Amino acid sequence: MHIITANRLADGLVVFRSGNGRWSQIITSAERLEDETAVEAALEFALADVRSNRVVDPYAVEVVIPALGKDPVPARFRERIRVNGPTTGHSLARPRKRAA
Amino acid sequence: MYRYDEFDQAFVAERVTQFRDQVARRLAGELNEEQFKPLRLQNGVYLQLHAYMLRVAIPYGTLSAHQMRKLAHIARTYDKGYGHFTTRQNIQFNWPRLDDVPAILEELAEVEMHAIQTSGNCIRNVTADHFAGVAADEAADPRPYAEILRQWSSLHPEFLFLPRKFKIAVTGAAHDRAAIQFHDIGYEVKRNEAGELGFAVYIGGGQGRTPMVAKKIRDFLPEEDLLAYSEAILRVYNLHGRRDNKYKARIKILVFETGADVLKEEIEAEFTKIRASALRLPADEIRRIEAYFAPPAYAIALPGEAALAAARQADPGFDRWVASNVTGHRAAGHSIVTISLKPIGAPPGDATADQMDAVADIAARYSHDEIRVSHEQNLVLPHVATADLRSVFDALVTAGLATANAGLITDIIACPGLDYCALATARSIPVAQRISERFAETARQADIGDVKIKISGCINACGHHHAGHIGILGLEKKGEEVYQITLGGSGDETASIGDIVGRGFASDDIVDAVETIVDTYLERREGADESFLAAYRRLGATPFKKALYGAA
Repeated sequence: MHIITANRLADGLVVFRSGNGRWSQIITSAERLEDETAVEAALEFALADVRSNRVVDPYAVEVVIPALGKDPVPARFRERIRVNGPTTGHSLARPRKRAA
Repeated sequence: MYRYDEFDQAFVAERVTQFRDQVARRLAGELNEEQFKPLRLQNGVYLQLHAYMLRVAIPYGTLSAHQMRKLAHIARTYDKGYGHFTTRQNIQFNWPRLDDVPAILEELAEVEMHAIQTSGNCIRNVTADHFAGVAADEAADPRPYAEILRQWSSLHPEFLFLPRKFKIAVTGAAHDRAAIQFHDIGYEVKRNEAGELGFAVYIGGGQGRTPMVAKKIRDFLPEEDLLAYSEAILRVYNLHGRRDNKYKARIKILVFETGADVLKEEIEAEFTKIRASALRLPADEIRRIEAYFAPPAYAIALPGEAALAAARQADPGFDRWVASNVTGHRAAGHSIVTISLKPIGAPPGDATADQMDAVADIAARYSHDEIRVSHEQNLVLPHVATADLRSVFDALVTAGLATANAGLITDIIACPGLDYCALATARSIPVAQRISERFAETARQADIGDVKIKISGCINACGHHHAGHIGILGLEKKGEEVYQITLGGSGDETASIGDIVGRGFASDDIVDAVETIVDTYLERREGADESFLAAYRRLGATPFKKALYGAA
């Protein structure tokens, strides 16, 4: 299973593409793509959002659903850090002053 | 300190206006990402794992208190209240919004700072010995030359699109604190037998996936030829450097594939052609730039030594801090203070906005307004009266910046790693934190002595692991973080690349492995005077391998 992620153009933050074409920072609503055809189609939509200057660098991330009703969790370690944020340091629990 | 003249100020202001327009056009969709990316990179804006990152240049690592306060303000206003000092003496902000960057650059320009050429395939921020101008052992302050190189290389039209990035470092002392032999060009300021100033010239050093120690191609280059010779090197590199393969594009590969002797001939031929041009540095211009870096008016004959000895005896904590974080100064009655940005268990190189403000206040009061950033990710107060050391220490304690570990095993360099970096394959910071905690005990640190641990989260080696006495390289293997250890690297005048000691260690085992290495050193050293590096060079890798992997 895959989801589509990108960075939002204006603030650079990590976002996920939902089924209705919105981009959200919350992974819960990310569209879950069951096969390669669905991934390709979703990436096409994402690339259109790149052309319309909403997001940059979209790509598909392999995920698993750990249990029914749970959020998708990326298979790769790198992507898990990208979803959850830095695992340590001064960024933790510190919002940027100028929010989106 | 160097102050912008009208030309510098106009140039930086113009650049801010230009980038403001470029960002506006990007957000409006008039520029696409492909068109915009090289523009943002030329202004220090990266897109990292979680957000944009802005890298601000701190030329040769020298800052005023006023500039440090501005960095604190930027951290507080536009980021998450902290900044990260890097191994190139720069500062990075990890969370700026793209649409805020023009405002940040405008604020930086107000204090004569910018982010130009902190990224891209151009000549990057020129680095220098962080003790420049105050070290007791230097031939001359390297910063005037670094400033001349900065002016020459800023938007040099011929060198904005090199095959790859290009890094220059300058040291003024034979004892190399600037790792010049790991740079594309390393200059050592020295005097010849006639007492004239000039440079030993090294080229082709670097780390990354193909680490190389630089080759010396000139033992003495006259001072006036600094720019002509630099231009000759850059021209030869620009012409022959490989553009077909990003990983073979640095000058180190050209030096390796062509041979330093052959390349030197070509550089010398080009140099001969351009030597008598406008690139020849007039002595009065060098002296004019030098005047900016003149030492401050030190108070004379301050009676600091006796009081210091008494204060050290009275307070073991202060004594330990002086022993590790205070260095001899060239001016009598003065000291160089290293402010460790490596509190036990904290991310190396980070400072909060409040800490930056505190350092600015302390520098304004006790260090003639001046601060340095070291490539080891610490800060330096270069001009402290020895009589003020106790007051400086107390102020640093209040700011949480009085960790007594400069040059010791917990003074670890680490790249941002997978916690921030889009290129990383493993985390670096948490490994540094765990090693720091393991070796926290101060008496043990003092006993172990000078051990440089350097950690990179991928083969690009931003954490300088190749030059670490103990180097750690984080990789991903079958979805897990794995850490490979190298031993015996060094970034000083005896530069060497660490040897891979054997198979890598899982994240859970890496700290134990480091401890095994340290214990082996303690068992095998000939005495407390024999440093880790000296012992490794004498013993070779065998006893360490045996300790790590058993007899087999």
